Amino acid sequence: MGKYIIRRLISMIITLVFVASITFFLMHAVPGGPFQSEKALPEAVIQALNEKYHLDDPLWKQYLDYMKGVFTFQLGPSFKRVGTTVNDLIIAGFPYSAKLGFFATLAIVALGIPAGIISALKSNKWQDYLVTILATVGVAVPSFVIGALFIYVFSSKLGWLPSFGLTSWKHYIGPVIALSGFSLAFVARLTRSSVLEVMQQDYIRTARAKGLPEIVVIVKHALKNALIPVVTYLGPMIAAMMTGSFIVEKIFAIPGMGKYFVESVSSRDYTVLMGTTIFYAAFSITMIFVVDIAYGFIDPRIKLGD
Amino acid sequence: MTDQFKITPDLWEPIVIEDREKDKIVRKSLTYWQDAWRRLKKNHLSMLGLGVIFLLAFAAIIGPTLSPYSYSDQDLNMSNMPPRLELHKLEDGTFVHVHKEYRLYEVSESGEILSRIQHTKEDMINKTREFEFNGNEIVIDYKLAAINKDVPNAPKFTLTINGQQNDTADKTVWNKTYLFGTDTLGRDIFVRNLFGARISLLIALVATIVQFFIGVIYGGVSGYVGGRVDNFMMRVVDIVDTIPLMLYVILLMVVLGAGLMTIIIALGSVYWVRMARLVRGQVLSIKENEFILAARTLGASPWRIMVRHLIPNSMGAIIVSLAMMVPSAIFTESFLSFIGLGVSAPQASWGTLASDAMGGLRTYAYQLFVPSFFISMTVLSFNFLGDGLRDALDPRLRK
Amino acid sequence: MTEKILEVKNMKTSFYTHVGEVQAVRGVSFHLDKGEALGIVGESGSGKSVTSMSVMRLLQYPGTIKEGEVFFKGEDLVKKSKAEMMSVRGNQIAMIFQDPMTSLNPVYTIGNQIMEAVIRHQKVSKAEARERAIDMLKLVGIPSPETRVDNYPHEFSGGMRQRAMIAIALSCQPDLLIADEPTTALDVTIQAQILELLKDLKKKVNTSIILITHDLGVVADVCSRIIVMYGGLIMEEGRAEDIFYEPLHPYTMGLLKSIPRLDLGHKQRLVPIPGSPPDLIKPPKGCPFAARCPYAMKICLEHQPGYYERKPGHKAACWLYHQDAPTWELDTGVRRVKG
Repeated sequence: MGKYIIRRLISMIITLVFVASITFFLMHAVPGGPFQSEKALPEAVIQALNEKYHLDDPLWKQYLDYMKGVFTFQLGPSFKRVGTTVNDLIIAGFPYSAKLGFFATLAIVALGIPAGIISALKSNKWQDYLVTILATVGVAVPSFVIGALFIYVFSSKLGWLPSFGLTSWKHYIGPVIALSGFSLAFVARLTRSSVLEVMQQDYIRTARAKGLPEIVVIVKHALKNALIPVVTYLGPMIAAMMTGSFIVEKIFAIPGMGKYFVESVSSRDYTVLMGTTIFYAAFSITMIFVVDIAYGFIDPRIKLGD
Repeated sequence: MTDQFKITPDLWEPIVIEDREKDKIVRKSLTYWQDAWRRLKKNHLSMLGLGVIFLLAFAAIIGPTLSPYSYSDQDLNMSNMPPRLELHKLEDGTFVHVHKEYRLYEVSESGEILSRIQHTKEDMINKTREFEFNGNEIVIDYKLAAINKDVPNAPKFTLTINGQQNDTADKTVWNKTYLFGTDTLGRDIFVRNLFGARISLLIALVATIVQFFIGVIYGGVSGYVGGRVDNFMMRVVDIVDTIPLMLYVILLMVVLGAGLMTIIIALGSVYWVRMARLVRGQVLSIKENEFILAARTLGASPWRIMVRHLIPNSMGAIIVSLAMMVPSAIFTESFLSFIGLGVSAPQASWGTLASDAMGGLRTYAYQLFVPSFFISMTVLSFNFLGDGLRDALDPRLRK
Repeated sequence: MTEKILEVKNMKTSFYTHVGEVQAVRGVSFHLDKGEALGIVGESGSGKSVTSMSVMRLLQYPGTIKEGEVFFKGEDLVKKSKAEMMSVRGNQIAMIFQDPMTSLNPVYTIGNQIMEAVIRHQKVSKAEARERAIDMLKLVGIPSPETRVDNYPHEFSGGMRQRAMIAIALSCQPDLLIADEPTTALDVTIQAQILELLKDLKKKVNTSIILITHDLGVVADVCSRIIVMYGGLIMEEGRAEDIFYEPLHPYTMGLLKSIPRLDLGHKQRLVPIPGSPPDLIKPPKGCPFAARCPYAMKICLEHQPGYYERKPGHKAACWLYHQDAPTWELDTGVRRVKG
């Protein structure tokens, strides 16, 4: 196990370097400089700005400086918001995104997995049809549609729930539903098919032949096996929940990281774009790592490494 | 044992072989693809999905040319017209519709918009607009709008016709002039969505094909060459796989600038990883078969073995995965449009249409419903088709 | 001495699928004496596995026992409630299955999977159950059971997994052990070892055994009595010697002809039985084997034969043994070594 963790840790660091490098070079490949905006700035101002942000250094030096920054969590100043660093924006925005992501993940695990299990165990009964129909529709509707519909129905038409911000528990309902909708449906489908497949396995028959009650057969023998593929999916999913919420944040006007990310895209604030991207990626890679380790505990076949 | 029937001597006659053969079930032998098609046809949902996809593609290609409007025709007099028109009776056979922006339209009883009636006087302080039409005096008083601003479903104006208040609509009809209404620039939403279907489907299909080629080549080479090369190539895939790829699509779009081509390039060049994995796995398992050895012994080049043997034999799995990639491409495209990286106006995709509609969601929700419906229906159809294909092409399920 | 431990009476089992009712077992009666080893032989689809699953009441939806009785130690298992059945399964009747690679749960240790049944049925402590698990592994011939007990199935070889399966089955000292194709998925040398183990255990722990297989060669060694099944019905029943040396049913003869025999050198020819088993959604009116039988007569297609007993305990369902039947030159498939 120890060896496995170390190997995974090393590959995680390599991935991060890779990600940071790609991001750096992509951003430096943008035609024109970061200050080439709609309004032409005087030459001298650009000169001064370039100097201030070390943009006239040779590329390799900028690269090394940047990588040093990445590994010391100093992601540099924002180009467009004077006096603000990327770190400031992340510190301001991430808690909102994380809270939202946490509740969405909770919803997925607490609702999606049980729904899938029930659907599989009640195969071809109304419970199964209900879950299957909801899940099928769920994976076909993009998050912004769920979000917009939610605002339209519950905020505009019924006036029950607020439509923007993130101050009370009522504010969470809409964004969490919009954010978790697709993955919830997907997890329910995945769990269902996984449980159905596991229930057909020979070792389930063995467990029944031992005279174990059906509940033990399901909980002990079926679920642990059935949840292995679900757990594999959860890693990238949790990361996506925490980071991929920019659409939902935009719709519900939540001041999370996604908001800064989207703003940096439209305002071409390259340092913020770079910084948030790397932060997102680092977070995502870490989550996948954590889930992979957890996965190693569930499935003994992983133990020996490869 | 006692016999319940009489045994006649002829029953003891031996039977001839032909009689036995009669009982044999004769079944035509089918090729893999025939069999897959036969099984796919039995899957009603998949066939429905396939039907919808064809219908949509057909409508996207033909539809916009049949309409009197083009996707870019603007008519500010007709902006934000809803698909359902509430009509107030003016006199026999003449109806008017009060727009949510307090404009007045003359509408036929069946729902054709005949003309916009210009107001003769506007009182900004008292929030009234006065109109004159065919000698009738019409007043719209929109003071309520500010009062009822936060009250859902409350009336926003009062309508007075020739001094008589007429607040409730006499009739509600479908908009015959603009089937699904118009957008903020008075462009026909239905035509724009059909045009959007072209762009969205084009992006999805081409991006999927690009992913397919990159994935097949990468995965094929990795699996076929094997050894260290494979090891290295798969490490790269592992690394790419842990990155949230949407971010890189966005970065690429920022670098390349928004546009139809760049979306396709960005999507295609980032999402090939899954395909590469799949193809490699398939190639690895098929490679061990005797017929590959036979081909190699006969002096077939690696390229030939790849193109003639390995890829055709992996086609089942590849097709299933392609069908599943289209929906995710449609999703990604709409997400990109949503943060302002979609195709540029006046071109439209479902994503940009939905994004444009977000601003007026509270008042003109229908503008969002139409592209949302198209997106969801397309994704649903492809999912149904993909599920069916998976079952039909899975050799384990072959009967 | 002949106390009947199991008696199955006219059992019929069907699967209600969307294409129709599959009549997998169409009226089967047999019995098993205490301490006896009975072989049930037949090709796939003959209903032999369904018979054993029915006895265990382990049929899953859409399978159901349509009618019949299964008396185990004098009590009808078909009438027992689900909870009552649970205390029979794994405790008094145990079962081992064909594929040891998939019959063990990959995410629990071998020890855990043995202890589970012991703790459930015998109300012992965890430590005692663990002791029992180690004893059982020793009994089935697993080397260094004290450490092996904590291994996961993927750390065991195929033969060892089947031994572990047998250990699970025997852990509660069942009165009856049903082994469903226990050797089919194993290498030939391992097969022999497992059969040897079964024979050995039968003596040591004195359980009754039902051995289900498609391979006549497997039962020859272990079982004293054999039932031959085909198309959901019993075709022939008799002592092992009767079946091997004086087969009555043409199907049994066909089976004998298709076993390779080393003692005959190169002179033998393996003769496959032509054709394929009947469709049990629309089972044939007459004898299920008629369509493939070299001696088929008109009556065989029309009417199902009753059982004709040639000598005590040896009977076959075949019209050839009806008093009015014409005499045939039968190729019995019996080939005794000359000299």
